[in-house]
Amino acid sequence: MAMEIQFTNVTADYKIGPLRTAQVLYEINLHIPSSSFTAIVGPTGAGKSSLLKTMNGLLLPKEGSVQVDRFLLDQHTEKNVLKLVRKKVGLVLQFPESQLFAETVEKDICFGPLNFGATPQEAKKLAIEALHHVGLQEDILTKSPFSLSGGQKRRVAIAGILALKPEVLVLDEPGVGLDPEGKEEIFQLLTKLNRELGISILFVSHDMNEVARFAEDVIVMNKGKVTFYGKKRELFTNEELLTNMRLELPDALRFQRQFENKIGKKLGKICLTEEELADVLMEEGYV
Amino acid sequence: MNKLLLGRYVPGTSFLHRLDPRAKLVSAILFIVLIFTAENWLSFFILWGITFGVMHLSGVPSSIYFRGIKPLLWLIIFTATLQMLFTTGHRNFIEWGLITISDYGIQTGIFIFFRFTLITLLSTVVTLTTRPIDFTDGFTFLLKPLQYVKVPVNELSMMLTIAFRFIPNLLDETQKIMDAQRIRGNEFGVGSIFQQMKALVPVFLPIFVNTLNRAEELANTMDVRGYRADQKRSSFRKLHWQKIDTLCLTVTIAIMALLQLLNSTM
Repeated sequence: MAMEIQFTNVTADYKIGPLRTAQVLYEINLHIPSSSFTAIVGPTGAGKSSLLKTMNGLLLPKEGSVQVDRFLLDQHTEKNVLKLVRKKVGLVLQFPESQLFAETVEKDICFGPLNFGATPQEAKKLAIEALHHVGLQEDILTKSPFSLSGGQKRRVAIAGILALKPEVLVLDEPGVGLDPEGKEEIFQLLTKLNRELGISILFVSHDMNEVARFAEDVIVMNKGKVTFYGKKRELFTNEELLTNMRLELPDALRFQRQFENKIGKKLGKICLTEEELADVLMEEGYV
Repeated sequence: MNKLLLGRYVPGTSFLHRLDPRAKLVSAILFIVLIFTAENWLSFFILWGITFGVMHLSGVPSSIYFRGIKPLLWLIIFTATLQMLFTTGHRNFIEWGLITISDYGIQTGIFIFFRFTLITLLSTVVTLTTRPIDFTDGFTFLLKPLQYVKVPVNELSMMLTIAFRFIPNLLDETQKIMDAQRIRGNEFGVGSIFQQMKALVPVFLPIFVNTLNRAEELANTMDVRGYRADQKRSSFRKLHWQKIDTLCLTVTIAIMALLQLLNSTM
């Protein structure tokens, strides 16, 4: 499955009411390869959510263009092209559970596929498949989405997007507001989708532990610009960038820094997760 | 959706922004009465002049006003056209079944068009230059006499404050949910009227649910912070009546008198 996204000189802004807000994206140039797993980080108002919206055509660039597969998104893109792009790039907004509306979970998940021209039978099949992906049982299909718990609602909402069979899945803070267990499950799901189905995943996050554990690449944004795009290990070894962007360290790395300060010497390798850190500590004979 | 100007405030420092909300409200109401009672070309000419003058004074770019009036334009034109088609007068130009186009009909049609447009523009001036909270304070003050006939003015004003306060939230949320459903392939403003209405169901239902939830949360928060409806309350904000407010009202009344004079002599 080859699905690349290419940003060329993208500048964009919103129109809120009669007023235009200042530019939210400024001259973005990015190339996101197929089957990648990318985290987008940066302070609030850096343009992270806007970047996600431009990939799906909810926000069209004022200048420049976004190339999704063979479709070009800019000011002149037609509605039917937008629809094709939206089927390929599934976007899960922040707190996606607020979009649930149907009487039953089944109807809600089928809503997307039906809009994109699936027959009722196909839609039901897709719904069941999506439900399995997010780890829910089929008996939930007949329940009202409003009777579910918070974590279940979120998973149903994500299933609603997965049922579209997107080739790129873009999520705006998928873990926020969930308990640790719920978060873990969501990210396990994303990892599985990425590895088994080759779906590209892009997610916005403020939690550096999530970034360090699950992402492969990281995009750092600040004031509407991309200030870093590369492998996560590159980011976490770049002290200057981390302090400039006021990015927190993942727990394991913070522990490592304190440990190194105490013993007065550096460990052999930068550790991003607890497992890595434990291994290095064992290898070097500290425990 | 975000074309709607209702309840939006454009910050500024113009004369109109500084005016006491009570003066603004009373003047606006008087002008609306004037607009409704105007019945000749000269009065409308003067009223258009005043409206444009006030719009200019507000310091808000006029393009914003016209964008605000755009969604209502079709409704206004529709009403005016109905007037034009079904009113008989001295000279009927076309008579075709029920439809008659007459000199009188054309005039009333144009006047109705003027009235609606002027009222929309004037009230937009007021809402664009008055903070919702000031607006409510002014409104509460003007309703105060009704307390003596047991109208719960304070509660009404609290309701109004809350309603105003949540308009931007509601608009933002609507936008968000529309986006969310658009992602799932829902298309707005496409197809027959029936299809268009059907496309709105996935938007309105979540909004209803969220609004009800939020209302309950808000009620609980108010309870927790000790809000009691039956108690007398003081206000944190004080309105200050100044010379320019008296001036504004005087000018309004003078214009009213002038137009009345014009009406009676013509």
